[in-house]
Amino acid sequence: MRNALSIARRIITQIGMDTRTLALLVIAPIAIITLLWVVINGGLSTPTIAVTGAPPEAFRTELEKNAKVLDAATTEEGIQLVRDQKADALLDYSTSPPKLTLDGADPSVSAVVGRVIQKTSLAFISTNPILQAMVGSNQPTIELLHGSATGTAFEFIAPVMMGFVIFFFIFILSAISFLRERTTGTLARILVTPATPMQLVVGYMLGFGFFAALQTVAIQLFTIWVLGIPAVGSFAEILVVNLALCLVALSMGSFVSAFAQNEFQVLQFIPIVVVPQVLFAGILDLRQSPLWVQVLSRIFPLTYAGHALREMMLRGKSLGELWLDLVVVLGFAALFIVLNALSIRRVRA
Amino acid sequence: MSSMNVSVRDVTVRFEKRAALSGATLEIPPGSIVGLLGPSGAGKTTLIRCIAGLLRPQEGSVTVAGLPVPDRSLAARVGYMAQEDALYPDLTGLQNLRFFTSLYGVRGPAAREKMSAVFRLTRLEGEENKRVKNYSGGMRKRLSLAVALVHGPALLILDEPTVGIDPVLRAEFWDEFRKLRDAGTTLLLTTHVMDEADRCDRLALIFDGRVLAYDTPAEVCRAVGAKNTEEAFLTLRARTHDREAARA
Repeated sequence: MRNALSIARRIITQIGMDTRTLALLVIAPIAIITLLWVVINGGLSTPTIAVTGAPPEAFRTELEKNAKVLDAATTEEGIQLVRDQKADALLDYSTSPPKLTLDGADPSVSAVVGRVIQKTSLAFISTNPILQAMVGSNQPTIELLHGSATGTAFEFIAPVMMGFVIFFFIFILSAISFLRERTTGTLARILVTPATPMQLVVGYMLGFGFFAALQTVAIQLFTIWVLGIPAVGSFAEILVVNLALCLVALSMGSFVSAFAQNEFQVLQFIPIVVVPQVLFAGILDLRQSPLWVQVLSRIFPLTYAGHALREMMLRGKSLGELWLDLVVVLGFAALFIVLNALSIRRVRA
Repeated sequence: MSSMNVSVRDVTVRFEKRAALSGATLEIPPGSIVGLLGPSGAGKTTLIRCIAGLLRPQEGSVTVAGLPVPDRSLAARVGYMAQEDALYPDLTGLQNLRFFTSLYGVRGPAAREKMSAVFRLTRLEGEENKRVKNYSGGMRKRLSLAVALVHGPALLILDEPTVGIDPVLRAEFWDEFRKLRDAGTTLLLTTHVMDEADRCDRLALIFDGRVLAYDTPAEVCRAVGAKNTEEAFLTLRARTHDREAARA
């Protein structure tokens, strides 16, 4: 154990003296999450809608609350505005019933326009007692079990994204630093001392674990408090899942380094180990994807960690309900720790 | 100090198809300086790695102090210095040395004492707190030797310990090697510098994964009728070539 602590202490000193790596660990993930947040939230919210004919005054007032309204003299002129992309849609009240013409190239814009029209219609109905009497009692009311009506797409992917960013940076860092240990000969030098491969691996987990914990706390605080991503579940329990994920990243990274000759070859593992996890591990909804994709997603530790994180942050579940996810993640870590110790034992005769 | 005799018997190591060692045999008596001399690619480093326990031979056996290698109980009594520096460039000399010292189980005041002794020995006093990346090549080599020496090993395995070191320091290193030997340490080192070969107690000429000759430098020369080790080496090498040509 003292040997493992010596190794951990050396790693902490080493990274502590290397400001670049420290910055990479904390600032880079936060920058990535912030960028995603900006890009995903920066989508269209108030569309531009051209109007021809004479919509009811109350309707128009409601529409102006939710969209930028342009007046077009004729249907043709309105269509031209949409064609020139000066308007996202044309609401034509010169025909009966009124007709909505959309550009349609970007489905997300179409969806936003649809929502705005629907919202406006509902609001318009409520301003008119007669209309309300006709349809009001049959209008479904919407109630969300989790999240909020103002929730964005980013809130859904944020928990998994947080897990992924933590995984990615720790994986790269541990793969490269363990590789250096192999190529510079320091690994051989450690192995001729009385320290055992398992002590070495445990020491690595402790040393890097220290920074991984630091990084995780920073990212978690930033995502929840600065970006205001709702986290219903307990901060400490979310941290436990993130730290378990760090352990997997650490052990996978150092194990993978056994199959690389240099830093460039470490980067070649990104398409194999990292990219499929982004695609298959829950950032996208896979419920309706082919069976093989769903099976494949089950071999990635991030799938389990991501599921647990999402359930905790968005649906407020506790670790008690999600223990199986945690066990699987820790199982992956244990597997790679053992494989790693075995691969090191091969270096030493 | 326990007697650290090394016994290498019929050791063969193959990398993929190529044999790096083919049936190498060597008996190293305790308390002596044994040099491995040979061109690059002859198998010196491979042999040394087998003795250090970093490589398991496909055939043959290696024992150190009667124990088959690798044996973890030997680790504390063996010092190993590889050709590459094998140091952490971001750490200071002291941090590097302290790390490896602690892995040998030497900690606290005992470690401080031993560390300052090897810093003195390798003329690195006053440089302890510089980062290794700011060290010169020679300083790194000296620190690397300091790491191999710090726990007071009874068997010291050094792969090209004097490459990149100036003649004055090299002479000092050799003084130190002799002092260590006189104190009972067994030293095994590789070199391709001929004048160093002459300073060894025993010399093994290695060529093509085989030990061509193994004796005192003077005896090696006499056996092949050469004036010096360099000539002896070239003669032996030519003979091996001829023999192989004849066989083919």
